[in-house]
Amino acid sequence: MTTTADEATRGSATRAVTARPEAPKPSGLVYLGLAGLAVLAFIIFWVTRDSGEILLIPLGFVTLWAPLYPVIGLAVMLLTLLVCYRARVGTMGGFGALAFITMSYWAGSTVNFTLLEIPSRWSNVEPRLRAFLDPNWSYIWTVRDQWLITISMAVVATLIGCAIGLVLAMLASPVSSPNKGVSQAIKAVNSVIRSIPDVGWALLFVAFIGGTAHGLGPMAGVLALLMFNIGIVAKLLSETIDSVNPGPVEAADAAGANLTQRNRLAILPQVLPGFVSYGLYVFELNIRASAALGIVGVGGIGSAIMLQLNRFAFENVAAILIALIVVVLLVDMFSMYIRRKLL
Amino acid sequence: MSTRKINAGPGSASRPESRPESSPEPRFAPDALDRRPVRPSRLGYNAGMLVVGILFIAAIYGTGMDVRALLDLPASIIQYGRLMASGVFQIPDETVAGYWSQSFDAMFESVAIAWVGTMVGALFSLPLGFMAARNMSPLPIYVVVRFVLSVIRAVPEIIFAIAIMLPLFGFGSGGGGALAGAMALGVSSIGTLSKLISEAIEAVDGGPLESSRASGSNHLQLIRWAVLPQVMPEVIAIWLYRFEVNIRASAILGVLGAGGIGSLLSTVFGARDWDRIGIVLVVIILVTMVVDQISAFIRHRVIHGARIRNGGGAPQEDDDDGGAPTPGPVSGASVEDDPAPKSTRAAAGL
Repeated sequence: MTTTADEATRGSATRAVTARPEAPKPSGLVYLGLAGLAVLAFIIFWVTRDSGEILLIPLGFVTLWAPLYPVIGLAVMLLTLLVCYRARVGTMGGFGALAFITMSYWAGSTVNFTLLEIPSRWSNVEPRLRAFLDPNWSYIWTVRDQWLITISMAVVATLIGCAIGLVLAMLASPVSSPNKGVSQAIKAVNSVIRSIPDVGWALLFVAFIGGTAHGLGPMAGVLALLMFNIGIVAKLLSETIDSVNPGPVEAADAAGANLTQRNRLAILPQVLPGFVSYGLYVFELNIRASAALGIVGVGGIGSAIMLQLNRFAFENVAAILIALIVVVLLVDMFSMYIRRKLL
Repeated sequence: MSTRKINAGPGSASRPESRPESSPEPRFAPDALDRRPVRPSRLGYNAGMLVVGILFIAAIYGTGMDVRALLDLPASIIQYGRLMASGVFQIPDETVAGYWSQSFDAMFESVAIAWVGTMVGALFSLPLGFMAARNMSPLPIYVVVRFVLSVIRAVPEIIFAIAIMLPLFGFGSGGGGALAGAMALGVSSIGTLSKLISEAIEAVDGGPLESSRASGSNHLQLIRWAVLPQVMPEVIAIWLYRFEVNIRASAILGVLGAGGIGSLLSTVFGARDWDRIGIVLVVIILVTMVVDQISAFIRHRVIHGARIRNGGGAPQEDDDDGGAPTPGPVSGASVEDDPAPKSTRAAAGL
């Protein structure tokens, strides 16, 4: 909204003496079309609505009715379009605003967005919060084995994931890959890897090789984190390789280097700082993720959380969570230290 | 090394070769500049690699994982992969069509959760971002807000979900779980978003600030006319990036009972129903990739503007509007040619 308004007044800040240049008027016809889209969205909202609340519009001789929330949505959309038109926002901006409102309306109605129930449900939260504020401090130290497993899993997954991610990134970036086909294929594979969430990988590997119940939780966890890391590192690093300084690459080519030599000597040194910081970043992510993934049956601190949660021992959960916050902060500080040292 | 006469290093060829024969000193005395550069010591590097290697092996022992389990992995991947593929590629009868539509519904619910969560985060992150930017807020506010933000960033979203949101809004897809997940994502987004936004604000060009101060604007006017036009494209890109992240994060909350694709995933994996697992995974991949593509397109469009060099584009640009704070393209110039904004990538390291 603010950008769009700014866009309109962009020219006005320049010349004070002469007439101020105005932004060109956007096409009214297109705006009419956008209003048509808004009405279309309104009809869709009407058809797919869940709540039966109805707005009555008495007109004197006849009383119209319409569903409440879609009407509100329509009013907001039309009002926004009007404001955009008056502020001389370009048609793309108007369309963006419309799409934003439509998306928000749809998302809000899908998750049944309401904050009205908070006061009545607050009593559910209070005992839990009280337990969380009064953690069982003596419990923190009893789960140190789980902590060891979590951190080890994160280390192993980070190291292997970064190594594989490096290779994939080299193959995926058109700057360093053997040819365009390879680069496109690896990019496609990578985006498939990236689009499955970490918990999806964890569930898959638990199903493939067995979870904590079989004593294989850490293995499944490491593999899940590995896939998760490969996706991230390959994506970020291949983008870094894309924007590498072409000078050394050309020099290596001119000196007759083959592909491996060129990648090793002209590209790797340039992306190495980025690579290290991505590695530290995924290490942090791994600590958090492995705490979360314990829920689905890979080993580590998450399984301890889940166990205590199922027993409704919130004091113990609180103790673990506090330790988790401390560990995450420590890892954060550690990686900041390394980054400053290396880069 | 230093005594070598041939190839004594750069510059040696241009030295005067012939000197008066009577002079007692040698014809050519190499000094420090003539030596070949000495290979730098690789001790630190080697020691570092050694430490990493030891750490790696220790970590493998630390996890206590049974590496022999890897031997069975390929076989089970093939076996289960075949089952999943047969689920995906069968001609959908009524039941299977139901599976597909159920998967799409769950995935769209996840997208909605992520959108609402991002909106909640975005709502709070803009003011907090201004408070956490050193050039925009006084020191006490800056310090306090920075501290609060770093605590929020240290808390994983499952904690917000378990401790507050799920009991507050209820469990399950129908019972408010989706809203609980959205709120948990929203609260945990605040930390990252505000940090990124505050960095974008700190990197703002000082010229417009100075000129609006000189023309007597107060703090709010300064923000409105000098800062927001510069940072807004990047802020929108940051929000969209977080939206993508939140879609993935909503899956883990779903396993805890927050609805969306995570709930469905844990159900189908609990039943070991490989047909359905295959379908759910395909749906996840499809929807995530499409959303990522759209979001990347919008980010690129917002940051770099619509101006295509050969095609003119919309006539929004006044050629002679000298030093006016142009919104999109100028701040786009500070960003590399890359769909993600620079700060997003830097904060890849957040």
